[in-house]
Amino acid sequence: MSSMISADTLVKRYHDPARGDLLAVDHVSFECREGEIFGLLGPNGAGKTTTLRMLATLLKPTSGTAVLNGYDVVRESEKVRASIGYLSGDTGLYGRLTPLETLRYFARLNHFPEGRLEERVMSLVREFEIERFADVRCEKLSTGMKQKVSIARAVVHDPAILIFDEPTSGLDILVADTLLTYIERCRDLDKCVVFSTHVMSEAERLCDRIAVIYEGRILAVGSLEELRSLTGERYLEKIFRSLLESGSREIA
Amino acid sequence: MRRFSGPFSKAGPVKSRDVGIVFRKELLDLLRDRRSILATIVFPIALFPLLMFGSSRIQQVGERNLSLEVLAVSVEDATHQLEARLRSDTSLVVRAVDDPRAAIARREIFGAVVVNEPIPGPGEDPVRVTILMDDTAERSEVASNRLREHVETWQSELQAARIESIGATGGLVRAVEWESINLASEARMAGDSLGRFMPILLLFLLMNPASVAATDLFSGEKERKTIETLLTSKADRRSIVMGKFLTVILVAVLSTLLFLASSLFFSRVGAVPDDALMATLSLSVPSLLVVILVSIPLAIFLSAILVLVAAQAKSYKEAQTLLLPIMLAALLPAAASLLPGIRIDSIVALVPIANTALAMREALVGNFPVIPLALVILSNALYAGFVLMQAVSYIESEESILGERPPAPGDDTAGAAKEATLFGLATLLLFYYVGVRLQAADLLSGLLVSLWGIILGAAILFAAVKKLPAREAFALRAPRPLALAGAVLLAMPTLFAAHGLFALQSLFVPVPEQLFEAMEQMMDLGNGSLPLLVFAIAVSPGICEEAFFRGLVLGRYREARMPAWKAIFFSALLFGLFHLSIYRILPTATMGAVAGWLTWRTRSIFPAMLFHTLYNGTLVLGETYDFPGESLPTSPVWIASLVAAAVLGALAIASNGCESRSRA
Repeated sequence: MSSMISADTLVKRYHDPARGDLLAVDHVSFECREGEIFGLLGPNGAGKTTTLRMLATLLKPTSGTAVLNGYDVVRESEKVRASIGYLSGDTGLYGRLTPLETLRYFARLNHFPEGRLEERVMSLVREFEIERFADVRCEKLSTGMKQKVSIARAVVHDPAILIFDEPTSGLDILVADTLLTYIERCRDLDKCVVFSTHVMSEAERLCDRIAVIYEGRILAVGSLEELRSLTGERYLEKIFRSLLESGSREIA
Repeated sequence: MRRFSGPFSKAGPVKSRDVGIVFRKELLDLLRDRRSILATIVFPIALFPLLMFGSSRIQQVGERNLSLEVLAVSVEDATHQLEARLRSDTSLVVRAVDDPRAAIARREIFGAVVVNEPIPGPGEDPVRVTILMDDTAERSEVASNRLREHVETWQSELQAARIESIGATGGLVRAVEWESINLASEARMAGDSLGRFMPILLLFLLMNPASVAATDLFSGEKERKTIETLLTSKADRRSIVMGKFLTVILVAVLSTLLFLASSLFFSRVGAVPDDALMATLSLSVPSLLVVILVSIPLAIFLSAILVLVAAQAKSYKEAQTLLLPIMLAALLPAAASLLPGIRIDSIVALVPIANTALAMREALVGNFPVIPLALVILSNALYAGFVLMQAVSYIESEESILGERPPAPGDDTAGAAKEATLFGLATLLLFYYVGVRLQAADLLSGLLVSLWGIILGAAILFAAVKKLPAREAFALRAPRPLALAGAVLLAMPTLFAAHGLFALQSLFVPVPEQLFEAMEQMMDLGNGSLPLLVFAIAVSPGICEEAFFRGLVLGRYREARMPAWKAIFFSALLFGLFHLSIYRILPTATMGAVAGWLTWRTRSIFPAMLFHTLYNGTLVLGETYDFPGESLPTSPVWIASLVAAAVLGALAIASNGCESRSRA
């Protein structure tokens, strides 16, 4: 298994007029491999979204680098973007386009070969059971239908890396389960998945390795077992609290 | 793959394939939106016939009613010939009244004709015919016109009979024959009234769909939370922005073209009711081609402004709140085309929006002044390019995308520069509305209040509110003697350089006489007292204006870590604007740039104050004693000494700057 994501001392600094300088992401480093689900676990405002946005080339790191699929996020951002699928919990769709048009649009934007485009789109339509409403405008779809279209849209160009930023926020349990099941399947397809959440149970269910992040810093990285033995706690909530209290520790 | 590189490209070439993908999607998306269809297609097509039909109907209804009405008149006719004519006219009814004047006042009748004598024989004085009417009543006007027509035909028939009776032809008796001819062809008059109205309509038709599209394509992307997905696709930001931008322009141009085509069609087919305007209105093809030609760069310019604004909004609602004032503000210069007497010339051709409105007006009356038209198109294209560049770079920035602020270094300081510029412009407004009025009331006291009260006062207030220490805010540092010497040396050469630029400029842009008169008025300020004159025109500006422009504004720019050339350029431009005359911007900004450089290098305000006082002082003395300051130097000795002073002065300042840096 080779390393698909390698974040090296990423820093993102903001200036906030009220609070002054804000270190949203403070020297974050981690690796993530093919066929692995890597979790970023932390409370709201811990820096998860900012970290993922830097990986997705939406934000430029203040310092540090990240290499995805062999490409540098700053210097080769276009190639990075071609290698990733990005989905966040509050992602929307174009209301006046149909699911089919949406999928075709994003396949083209990601330069998916025109010759195989229809075949790829139709296979996703079958896989996510979109057939029934494939020609209905997205504004008329239910939340569950929309979420299926959103996932299909994120993977339409068959990217090697998937970045999910709190993808289940705002979803009901059944829809969230569909999504989590799909993420598990990505592991079997040898994708590299980064997944952020503040829900401990999701992290326990999905993640091969977890980075606990708080106030922009990674407190610890490891499998659930490793984190348990590190802190001597069984439940993730307890592990998290223990890490906060003992300060930064890292498992190599 | 075909590629083209944008002129301002930093981030690599725009990819036409990606632009095309985005463009096609956005177009499809917009065409499914009822609001966009309405604004882009239905409204522009329907507007012209609706307007014409509506306005002609209203006018016709009013006119027709009166023209059909039978109006009461009275007649006293000693000849009985006229009375017979009137009685045979079915549009008049002749009433017998005792006092025609009173009857007209009571509105019983609307006109009266009085002929007291019989028809005179040949050689006698002509008979007097009086028509009575009341000018304030519309019916009376119509009735008196009908009466006059009868009198005129009667008179010419009598005349013809007489000429025949003496066996002469008309040419012998009549020495003068007159008729007034309106030289403006009817088409030209119709075109003129349409020309006045059309630019505003066109601007509205251009901006309305463009703002709908800009809101949907830019603000909507954030409101729908689709922007992250879009920006994590392989297509680069620049191509995405260009694709969207092209859609907005297309919509703006399409709406304009549809309106023009519909106007042409309906006026040619005559499908609108024919009244005076419609019967004569001829929108010619060349006129419309010119209108289209000047509209397209304007469409790009306005679309870029709308996009720039819409991109800053996070929701539709916010976008609409921001866009409405912008659209109204853009319509204002177009209203200039409604004013009589304003015509397009080489200066007006450079004023955005107003230039296009006036060019359209000329084109619609069939005038095609080549140089102004070319200037309009060229300057609009330049403005469009500039705003477009701003729009693209804003949209490419992180803050535009995610509503987050850029990284800290230089961020709060960039705010300081913006703040200082806004403060400068706000003071300019205050100066314009208050200072200028005071000066109009009384030049001397108005000038002193403007300088010490408004300009220096605003600067001190700003520094106090921002809690800036005075020493830092106004660069109150003791200068080195060499710096002061440099300032003295540079005053005269700068004066002549600015003067030369002004002379050069007036070769292309003639300066109106009023400007010189206003300048001379300034010189009479001291009521004969030279010290007072020097204080008002040299010392006061030297202190107050320098504290404001070079002390505060330039100081904030330096604080914002602006590069020197940029800081000096913008503070000088602001200084030039304060002189409230397009003709004076170049010379005053030149002077401001030198003063700015003095302050930038020496980090002290005093050399610039000395320099400014000497500069203005030389002007005053030149005016008073006919000192060389009025005309450009011609003698080689003069020129050589000016160049020498300039070089020495520049060296003194430059070396001073280096020393102070090495000390720091």
